[in-house]
Amino acid sequence: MEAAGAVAAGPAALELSRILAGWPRLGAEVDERTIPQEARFDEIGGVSYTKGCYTGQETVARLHFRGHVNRQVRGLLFDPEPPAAPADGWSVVTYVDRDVGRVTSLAFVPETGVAGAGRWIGLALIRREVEPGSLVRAAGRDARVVELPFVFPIAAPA
Amino acid sequence: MTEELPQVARVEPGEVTPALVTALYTGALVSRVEAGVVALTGPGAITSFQGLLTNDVELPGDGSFVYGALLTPKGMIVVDGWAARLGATVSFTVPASGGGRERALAIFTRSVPPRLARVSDRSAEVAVYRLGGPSALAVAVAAGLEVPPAAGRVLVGPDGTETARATEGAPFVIQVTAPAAPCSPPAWRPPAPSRPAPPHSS
Repeated sequence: MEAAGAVAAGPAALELSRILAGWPRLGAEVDERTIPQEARFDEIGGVSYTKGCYTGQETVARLHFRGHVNRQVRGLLFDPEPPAAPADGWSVVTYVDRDVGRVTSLAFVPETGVAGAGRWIGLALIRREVEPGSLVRAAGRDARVVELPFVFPIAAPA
Repeated sequence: MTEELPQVARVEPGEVTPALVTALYTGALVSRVEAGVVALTGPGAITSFQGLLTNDVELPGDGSFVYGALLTPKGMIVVDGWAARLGATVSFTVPASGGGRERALAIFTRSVPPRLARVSDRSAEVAVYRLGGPSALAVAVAAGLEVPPAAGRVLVGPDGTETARATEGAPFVIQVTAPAAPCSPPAWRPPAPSRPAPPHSS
């Protein structure tokens, strides 16, 4: 593969790719309290509404046809100046002094020569009413809620 | 089945170099994945798996490669992963972290009668690699892999290597599941004719 032009990478590179794409990870965005639609299964094509019965289908179908989820995975764009790391072990997301969810994934996107690329990004499972564009406090830092997937180059101000 | 509290996944500064980010956005990168591969094989494998996964493996037909999850009866996610349907076998590639392999095995063992399908854990027998980046397809072809003609499809070669194309928007483009050579990394072999998957039926 390397001879064919691929750069050999460790798991961290694929993990960064996952976060940039806004896909869930077991143990971070996903646990046994997570409904598929909360983890963006509609957006990433992880669920079929025409296939018929499967274990747990009733909840998933009812949400799709009759309601909506109260929380969803969204992107976080942290303030690049100063480039301080979001606090380790502190995952609370607050919006207007109200607890609205938790940070699930964090990644530092290194400077590549493209403006705005040296900064922290993240994923958070937050309440639906905290819309993209909102300024929240996440893991002890200011962050902007953004749509997923992240668009590169990351140029929007936090 | 173990229930772990969710943790914050972190990629720290220095773990991914600028060169890798550049490759991710303008070229191709390849990485081995810590994954579990759990399979169902038998006359009722497809039907049984269809009754467990959130996504559809029947409609796309043989050679399909789809993302989905296994749920609790109340609709909560137990484990997510990529399902490759080849003949009478469905292989479900799940994350090794978070107990993905154990979770999938537990559900298969509990839910699928042996007369319909046999449950097997292929995790120790295979090595899983993923390629990402806009040049991933071209690199895979240049490396001698026979790549499925469409996203969401998988091919298997005569040596058992499975080459799958992820659906649009996934964090990787190609997944290669190769037989693991004991005590040495798997070698990439010259191209060999693969069994073609039927056309995408959806």
